[in-house]
Amino acid sequence: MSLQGPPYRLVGQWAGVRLEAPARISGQFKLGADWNLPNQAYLKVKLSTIPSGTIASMDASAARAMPGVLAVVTPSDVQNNAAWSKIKVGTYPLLPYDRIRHAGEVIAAVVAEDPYVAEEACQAINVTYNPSPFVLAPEDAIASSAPLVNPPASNESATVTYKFGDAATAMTQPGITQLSSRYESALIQHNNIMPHAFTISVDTTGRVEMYTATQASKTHASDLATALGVSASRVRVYSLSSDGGFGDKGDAGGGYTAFPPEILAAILSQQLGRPVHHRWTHEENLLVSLHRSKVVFYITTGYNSSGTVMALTAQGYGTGSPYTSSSSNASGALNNFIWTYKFPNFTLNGNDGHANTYRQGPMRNPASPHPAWALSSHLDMVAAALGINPVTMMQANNMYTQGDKDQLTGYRIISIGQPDCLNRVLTLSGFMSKWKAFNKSTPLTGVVHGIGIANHATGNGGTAAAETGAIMMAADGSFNILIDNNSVGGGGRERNIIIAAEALGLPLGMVTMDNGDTDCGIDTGNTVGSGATKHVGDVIGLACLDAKSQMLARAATLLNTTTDKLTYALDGTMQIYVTATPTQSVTFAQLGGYPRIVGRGTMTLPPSTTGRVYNSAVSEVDVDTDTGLVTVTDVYQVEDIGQKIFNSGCDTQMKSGILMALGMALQEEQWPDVPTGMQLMTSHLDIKNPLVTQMPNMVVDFIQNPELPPDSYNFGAKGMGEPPINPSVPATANAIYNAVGARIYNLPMTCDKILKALGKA
Amino acid sequence: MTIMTTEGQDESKNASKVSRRNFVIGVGAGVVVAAIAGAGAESLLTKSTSSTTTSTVTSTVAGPTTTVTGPTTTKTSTATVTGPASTVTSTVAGPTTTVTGPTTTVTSTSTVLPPSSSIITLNVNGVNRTTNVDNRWSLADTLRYKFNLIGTKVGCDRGEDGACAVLVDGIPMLSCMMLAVEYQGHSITTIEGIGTPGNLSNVQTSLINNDGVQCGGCMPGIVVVATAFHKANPSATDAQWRAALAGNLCRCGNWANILQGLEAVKS
Repeated sequence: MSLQGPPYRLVGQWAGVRLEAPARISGQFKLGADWNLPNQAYLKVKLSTIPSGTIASMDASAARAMPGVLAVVTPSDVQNNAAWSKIKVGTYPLLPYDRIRHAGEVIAAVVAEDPYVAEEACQAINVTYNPSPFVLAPEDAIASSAPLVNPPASNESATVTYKFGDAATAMTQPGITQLSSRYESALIQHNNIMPHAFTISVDTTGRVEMYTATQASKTHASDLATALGVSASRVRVYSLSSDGGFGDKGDAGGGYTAFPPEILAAILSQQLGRPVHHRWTHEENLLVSLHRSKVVFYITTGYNSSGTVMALTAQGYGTGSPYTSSSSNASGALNNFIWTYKFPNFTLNGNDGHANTYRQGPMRNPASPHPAWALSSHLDMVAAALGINPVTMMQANNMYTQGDKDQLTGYRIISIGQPDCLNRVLTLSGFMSKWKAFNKSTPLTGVVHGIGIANHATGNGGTAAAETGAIMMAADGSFNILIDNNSVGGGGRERNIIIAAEALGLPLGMVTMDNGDTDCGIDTGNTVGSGATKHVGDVIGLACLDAKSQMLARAATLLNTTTDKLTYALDGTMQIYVTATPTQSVTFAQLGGYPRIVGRGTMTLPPSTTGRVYNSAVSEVDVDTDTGLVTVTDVYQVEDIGQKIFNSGCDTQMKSGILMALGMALQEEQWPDVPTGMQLMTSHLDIKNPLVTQMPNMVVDFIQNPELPPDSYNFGAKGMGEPPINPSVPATANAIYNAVGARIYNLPMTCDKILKALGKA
Repeated sequence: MTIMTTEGQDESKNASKVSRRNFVIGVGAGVVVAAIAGAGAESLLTKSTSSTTTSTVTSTVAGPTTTVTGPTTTKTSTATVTGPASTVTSTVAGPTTTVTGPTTTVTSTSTVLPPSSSIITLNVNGVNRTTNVDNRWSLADTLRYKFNLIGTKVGCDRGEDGACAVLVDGIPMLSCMMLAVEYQGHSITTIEGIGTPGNLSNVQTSLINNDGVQCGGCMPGIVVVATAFHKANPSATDAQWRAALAGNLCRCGNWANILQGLEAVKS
């Protein structure tokens, strides 16, 4: 049995109001900070004000004496407690009693009757430090003379090499011109509106309940269980939402999803016999939570007169977290250089080092937008050097097309839509008629206009995962999806319900997914945006097929016939009938008795197969040559998504991805003060999300080429939510170059950098 | 290569910024003083002990001022008593004291509070709600933690993202930057007073019909601001809507649909 094909009732068709929208727009959908339990106490944390060193002294006596303070935990309390000192949150200690590894590290916690008292008590803890040398920059971190972040271990956190052909030889062949440049991305943060928040309760039996907003409730439960020494089944994590996670609510780094304050809260809840509630401030979120790494790329291309890159070499340096590495680092990002074009020769090296910067981890398409920016900027410079249209340059290189295998691994690529994306975005934008090479003889005065283009392929959203899921029929024939998969707000819940309702022939309202409760759902891994389309959607489809089989068998018994003589109605009428005599039928409700029908699906990974999501974008900008201000006027973007499931969800994810890309391109950066290692950028005013006033005209479209079993059981959809952030960053960089003839080699491309590049600052 | 170090660093040297909470704490003290002066010492319950133990003092009082002395301990408290009779200043002793005056009887339950706390009455969504708060408490936290009005979201907690917007006498204000003790006597409207899931306002309905909602963290604040703006500018243009919402952040980046929804609002 397989899923039906088009035309569909719901897949790519449904246009109703999002299921949670009335509650969310009324503020009544419970976000992480909205869970309050009777008699709860309040946790606040104290953060380190040095990037590296040890605590010389910590006097918490004043804090402990404050009226209303219930508990104070210091690093020495952890060190001197036999149980607490053994707890590791990933590679993090519960509190850093050995050494401080970054500014903003949690160094003490207070629980009080009142959150304001808890905060005041944190301020009353007097700390003196023994500061030590620190290292911040990617290239410095792995230098032999660098201060060790985790002595005696080396700072080296990850290395990678990709090699194909002989780049060194190809680079020196006759007719080859070399171009070398250095590109530096920025350390950035998710900058969520809702910070981390949770309420934890540990009862006298050791039962742990956590109410929070996370993209990873199951792994949160296992982390809490490990730290507390109880079985994972004794921990319930309830998380309806991730409050706009973008990865920040999905991982604490190092494969762990819990943060030290959460473990501390659980311990203190157990000791106090009361629930403990914690809501981070946005500033704490910026200091304690995850970041996308700053990465430096040194790129050299050897190209011929047609613009064909015959050789590519790249060296990447990234900063790992003080404790762990990160997928957004150079080691994770470099393969993005070789997924759009089949360069005949390349050598890519990545070296990441631990540094005294911030905790790093997944952020929307973690490993992609910065290498997308670096390589596409570089290729645009090659085109400029040759004086050719950048599209001519793209066409002169060997773009991956349908049927190609990965040239490095030989793996089959499930579907490839890069050429279609490029062609479609050229049509939508009118790029070929609008583009004119930057004219160096034109004086740069006032506001000038430019247009740029970029392609990008990413692994996020393309590949299935080995997961199991289930769906259960209720007495009335409706179904409940038994999968723990939080709703991140991007339309994932609607997507999952549409898949099930289409597959089972149900009205949309007859499928429910009350997810986010680890007691009730099967663990399908973290809800990491676009990946969930595959690893959740596929197992829902398979579970529906299993349920249909059971329903047909039960109907055959009731109708005294065999399954091959039955028709399963897929039109929403919820019936199975005898094909030859349709009046002989059973309703789904008649099949809803005991034992309940439970469909189960397990996705098996096709061997030696990989998947990717492709994007192309065109950006148009106005650049004020007197102020350096860039205004993005138009963005056209096309993504290869396999199959639309939730129409409006796809549209909003594309447009929101473009806006996030423009923030990354033009204005978002978090970087400590170099002399002190302290964070100076601790607010939305310092790191500004794109405002509504900055929203350009956006035209988006999709390439739909559904993937087929055994690669897909979700009607052929790829994960599409993360990749829209990728191509608009380089397309905007290329548009700025087209406007003013200056390349900005550091993200974000702020006014001051543009003025400097123009010789005006 | 740049490797930096700092020497002799202690926390005070790094504390170059005044935190928002420190700011509020400082302002809070001033505000309380102002409130006392303005209200004729009506709004503050003080206690002479430093204990955090909460004990309930139930007083049935009548008449404008009554002083009762108990057998063992003397406590001085000033309490705001809700009800028609107005404020009563009592010197009470012992855990429970009942005093009967000549004309009116008002019953209230007050709590012995930590220093710098107040019993306040806020008019929220047309309902008078009384609670005791530390004077440093923001209006946003008071709404959420004391009145369980969770629709007002707290994001930045420093007046940057607009998520905590409420209407005060019809004007959008950022409740995370407002001290609750300052807003007695004002009409406060939260998102719950604008529309509920079963009874959405026209602004909310238009937004969800245009798929303007993603994670929902920013939406209550946007709806609050948009409701006030639409009332004042029922035919606002795209540019006017953008200007009106420039103080609201939405990281999901769903502005295209939000604007579409707002421009389609039916009066």
